Amino acid sequence: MNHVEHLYLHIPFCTHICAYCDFVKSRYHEGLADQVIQRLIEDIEGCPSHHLKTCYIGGGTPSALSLQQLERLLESIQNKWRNIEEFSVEINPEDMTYEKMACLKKHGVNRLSMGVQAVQQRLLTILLAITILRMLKKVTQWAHECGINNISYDLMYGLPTQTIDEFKTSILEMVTLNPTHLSLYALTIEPNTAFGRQKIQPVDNELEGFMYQCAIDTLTQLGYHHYEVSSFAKSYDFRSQHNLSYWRYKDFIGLGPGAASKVGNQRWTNTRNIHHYTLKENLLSEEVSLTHQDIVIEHLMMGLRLDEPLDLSFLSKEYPEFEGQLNEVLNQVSDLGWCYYDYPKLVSTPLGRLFLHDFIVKIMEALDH
Amino acid sequence: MDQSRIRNFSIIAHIDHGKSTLADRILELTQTVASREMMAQILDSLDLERERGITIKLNAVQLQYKARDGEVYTLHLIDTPGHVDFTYEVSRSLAACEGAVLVVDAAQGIEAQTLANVYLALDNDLEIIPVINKVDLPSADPQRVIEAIENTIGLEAKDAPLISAKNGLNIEDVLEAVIKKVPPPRGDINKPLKALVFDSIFDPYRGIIAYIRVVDGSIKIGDKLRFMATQAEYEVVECGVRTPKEVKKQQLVAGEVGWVAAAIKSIKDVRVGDTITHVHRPSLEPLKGYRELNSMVFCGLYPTDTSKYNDLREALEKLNLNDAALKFEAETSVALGFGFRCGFLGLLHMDVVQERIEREYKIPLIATAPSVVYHVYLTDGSMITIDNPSLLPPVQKIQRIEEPFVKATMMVPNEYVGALMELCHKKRGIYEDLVVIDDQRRQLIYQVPLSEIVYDFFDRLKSISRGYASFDYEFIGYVESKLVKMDILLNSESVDALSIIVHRDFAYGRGKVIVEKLKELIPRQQFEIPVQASIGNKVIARSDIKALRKNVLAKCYGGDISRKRKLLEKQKEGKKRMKQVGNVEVPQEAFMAVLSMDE
Repeated sequence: MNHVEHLYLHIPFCTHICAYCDFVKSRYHEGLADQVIQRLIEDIEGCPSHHLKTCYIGGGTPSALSLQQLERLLESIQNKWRNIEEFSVEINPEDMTYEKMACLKKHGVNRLSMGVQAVQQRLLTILLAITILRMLKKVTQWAHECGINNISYDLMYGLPTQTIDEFKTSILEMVTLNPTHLSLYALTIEPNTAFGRQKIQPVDNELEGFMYQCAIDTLTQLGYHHYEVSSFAKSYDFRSQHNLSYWRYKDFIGLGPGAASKVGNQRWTNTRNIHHYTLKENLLSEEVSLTHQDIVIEHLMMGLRLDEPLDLSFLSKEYPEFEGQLNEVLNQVSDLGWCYYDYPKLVSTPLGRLFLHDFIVKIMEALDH
Repeated sequence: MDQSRIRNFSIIAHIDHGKSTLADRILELTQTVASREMMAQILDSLDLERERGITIKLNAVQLQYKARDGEVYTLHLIDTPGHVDFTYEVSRSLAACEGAVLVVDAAQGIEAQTLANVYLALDNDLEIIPVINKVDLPSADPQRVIEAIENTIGLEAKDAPLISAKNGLNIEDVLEAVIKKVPPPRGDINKPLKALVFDSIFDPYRGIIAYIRVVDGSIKIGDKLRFMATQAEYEVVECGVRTPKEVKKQQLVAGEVGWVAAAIKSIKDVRVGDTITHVHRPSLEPLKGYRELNSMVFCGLYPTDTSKYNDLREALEKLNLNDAALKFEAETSVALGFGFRCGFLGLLHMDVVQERIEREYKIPLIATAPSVVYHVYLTDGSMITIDNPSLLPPVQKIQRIEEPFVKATMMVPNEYVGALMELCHKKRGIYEDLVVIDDQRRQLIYQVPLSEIVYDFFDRLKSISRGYASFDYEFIGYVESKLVKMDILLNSESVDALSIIVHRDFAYGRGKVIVEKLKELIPRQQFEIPVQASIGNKVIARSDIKALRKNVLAKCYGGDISRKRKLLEKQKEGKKRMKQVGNVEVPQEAFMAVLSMDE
């Protein structure tokens, strides 16, 4: 495990809970957060990895932590690993302070990801989310002042009652802030969320499709690279290195409640129960040994999200048993215009990425035979 | 055996009134089954029966009971299927008895099936013993139920045992009543053999085992038997009774109920209702009441995976070993490929067969919407029967079409009578009678086309009466109707498996509902799919399934891989249940869409 170069840390706290979120989270509580931070620090100290290329602190909302808690956590990371190439933290502008920003900078954080979702108050009310544009601008300014210039914003589309114009307005508002990166997510309604419980219906697939296309057109015209299904970067250098490691199916370790890890053919997910996590009880919620077939499918499921070619030569080397079926199905899919395939190079086309779900299912079916 | 110490009886009841629970208590009380071995409701042995709380196959159990008069009696308890589809089987097992215990729920009172069963029992000259069950329920009103039994059925019910089968209350009173009131068998052991076949099961080692009631004479091992209706002849290998374990005996004599194994290979030789006699000293007359079973409802069964065609044939053959009422023959559909046209006694029978094939034989199925059998008179004067709508001849060749009608008997609380009558009219029903049962309920009788019953009649009935109405029906005959064939087109191609026969006046409404329902059920695909309903060349309804714009998971990071994989696996499994029709992928449920009648 000491070769793993990508680390994810999960902070399961938020100052308020959004209606669509199904990550492990709870309302911020100082005492409980202290315990979780303590556990995380123990895990960080015990982590076998020698060198990290990327570290990503997500949540929940890491910025919900108090300045002291943030400081303790970041210090322990800094003590353990030096020179992390990309060190990202997710923040909610609403609970940021200048001091917290300075603290992030001081401990080596060099990339921020801010959840914005939408700029219309009407939609934020539906989402139970709060990010006032004024605050977002202020926090962005603090980041630049502190010297953190690699900033990504998250927006959502396909929200109940959202119009294409509203979505486009949100995108343009973000672009005026000149971010290095944007992530645009279609709303998915998960069962264990307020939306799921209220049985909110997803928007019409056609409208969602139009919104997505509108975003792609707008951002591409403005010079952003659409390098992954939901991700846009100002230049290739600003692609999220940490997320690329997932899409390239690299090994990673996740610490904190609900965080997942994959090392070699092992994947495990920590308990989603925050109390169990702090008490070290029932530590894992899932643990699987991946079969060759799992590995091949997942490698493609992740890799085809990107606009960069996959090199399939590793497959023929390590899992020659699937070469025939894979070759056959990829040729078929290539006839549909969903990928360019010239062994060992494989890359999805924009059309293929639009129907990636069906694309992968075809591959899965082929490997079953 | 002394026939005066034998009592043969059945328990009859409306579904859920406690028939099986009472049977369990009787088995416990007579220590036929020790309590600790007792699995709840032991007579219902098929999994499906247990799950659905219904009895499909019959069973007969011999019990020894020491009565209050100090004598030990041999009781044969013959179980009956509790559903309208199996009326004929019920009537045959009742014919094997001299008496019937009529269980009525103390809270719910008389229901449609209670009456239907009572009439069957009366047809067979049975002594009927009313029993009021569930008297321990807070809502129980035994007095009202007793009055209703006396007023509606005309049975003396003052002395009816008041029991709680669940708690074992007053079960002995039921058995005492059976001994006092049910006459002993009056067969003649010296006459030529006459035994009634009321059920059969298939045993892989011993062939078909027939369940019989010996009416006259006796059966011994080695006897040569003849089945009088089928003329099949076999030699008895084993015979005996069930307690409910199988107990072998040297012979069965007049008055007894038991089983016979004779290395019988074909179920076709052993028909329920047939009479067994000896080859060498035959009875001249068979017992009354035998008839051939006719399928009332047909549907096409197709494997979703075409390579499973032979497996499906094998499954049907195996089920057929135990279920003579199941009919099937090979058919092909342009849309669905190779499959079988199957005939059933009714809707429940159809559901049970489908579910057993999917569950026990693990063959995912596509079932087409059920159809009744139409009598189609052609212009050349001939008549053909049509059980598959897609095979209906062109309009210009048809002189007229007749469809089966049933007499539907419904019991309903007063406040729902109006809504129920409205439903019956919508279903082309013809009013026959309205009878007062007591101050709270009415009995409503209509003649209704069976095809309407096969659609959603029962579900509708339940929903408009909030579950309080009960329902039973019997076939009464064929009646001419203005019927037309409606075709469904997907992407401009007619899909034969979706064709239905409808009344001309209802075609527009139904066509509209079907295309809307199909739009809902067929997932969006990469191209737009028009869904149309047509009569002849005329399109009467249309709805379009819009093209899928995108199908990709918005987020997929490290923590999502496992979950998203499962999601994709689910979609993959779902695709297995889809059928490629032309270039459209159609899910299984879509073929039943014609049944959804949210008009």
